[in-house]
Amino acid sequence: MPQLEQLASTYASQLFWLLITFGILYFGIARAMLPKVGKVVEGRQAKIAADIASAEAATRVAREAEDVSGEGLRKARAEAFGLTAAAKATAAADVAAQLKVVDDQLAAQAAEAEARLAAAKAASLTELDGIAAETAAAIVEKLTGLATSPAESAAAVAAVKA
Amino acid sequence: MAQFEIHTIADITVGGYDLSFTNSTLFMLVTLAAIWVFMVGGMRNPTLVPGRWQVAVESVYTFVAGMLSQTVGAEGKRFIPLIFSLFMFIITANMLGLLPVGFIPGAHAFTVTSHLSVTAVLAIISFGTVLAVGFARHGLHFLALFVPHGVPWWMMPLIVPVEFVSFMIRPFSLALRLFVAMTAGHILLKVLAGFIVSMGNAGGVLALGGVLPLALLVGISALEMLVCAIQAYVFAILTSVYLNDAVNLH
Repeated sequence: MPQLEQLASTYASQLFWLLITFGILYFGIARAMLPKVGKVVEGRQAKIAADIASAEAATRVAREAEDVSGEGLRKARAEAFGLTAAAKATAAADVAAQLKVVDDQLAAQAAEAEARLAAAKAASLTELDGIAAETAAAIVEKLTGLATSPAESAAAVAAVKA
Repeated sequence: MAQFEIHTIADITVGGYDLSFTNSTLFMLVTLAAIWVFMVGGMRNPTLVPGRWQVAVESVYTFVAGMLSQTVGAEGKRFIPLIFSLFMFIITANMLGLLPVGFIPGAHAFTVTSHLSVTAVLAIISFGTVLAVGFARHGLHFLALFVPHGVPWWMMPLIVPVEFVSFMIRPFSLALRLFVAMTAGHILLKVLAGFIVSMGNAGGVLALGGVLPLALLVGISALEMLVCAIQAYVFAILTSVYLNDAVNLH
């Protein structure tokens, strides 16, 4: 195995060059460049965290605004409901009052007309009795040639009617 | 075994020590360059909404940072560069060793992490950091690590040495695990590839039979890539766990 056979003859060279290359790697690359890499990585993480935090804050604000506007909307809706209900009630009362007036007028007119009708009926009925008596007297006179007094014919009509 | 051999490319000797530029050195530098290109390419102009490359770089960062915050906690942030360096060096070196650069004549892939000398240094870096952090934070009180809570006093003569040995064995297990995993995986791939070649050379019906080890080789290669990633992950997470001992002394 050359690693062991050559150990004595090559260890100095191996050690020397390994220390040089590893030294350059450690001081020239690792210590010199890694902080920059770390800064980039951590900067990105910080930026992402900050962005997420601001997004969360914005969401919270939006939610609060939503709550406020929802509250306003609900209030406005309730108010509008109240207003329409009141308007409806007044309109209904109005209509009822007007209807009542018109109803009363119509009822009065109807009563008046009925009264007139009854009066006319009564008048015409009494006239009818007179006419019947006259007619009866005329018929009697024509048939018998006897003159009847109005009182007699009226009594006869009344007797027939009864 | 030739794939593990170290060849000298340019001779360098300083103060009697052979510090030659070898194929191992070359692959260490390629590893370093690959990580550098990856990092610079992804972080050239970082944007809030990242592109694909930037996502790749960031995901490695968040992976390491997440691993440390899970094991060590908030204080683990300080060790991100160390764990990142260990993880990226091991996973890149592992993967580069699997690259089929053998297609280019004369070129051979070399797995830096298949060498005990390399994995031992990485383990010492990991273990040394744990010791340094532990003693710097807790002073000699760090030795209380070997005295677990809730153990009756008469068990101490037994428990303390066991804890001490298990602690001291950590760098060896770190180094050996990576070294063995890489070496074994590469040997397995080489053996299977050798089967294909020898069956092809046999000719006739046997040459057709070479399809079997080829299919196996494809599967094992995928498995080997998984092992490359897992070994890097294991090394990184164990270092994090050990650092947790040092930072948050139970």
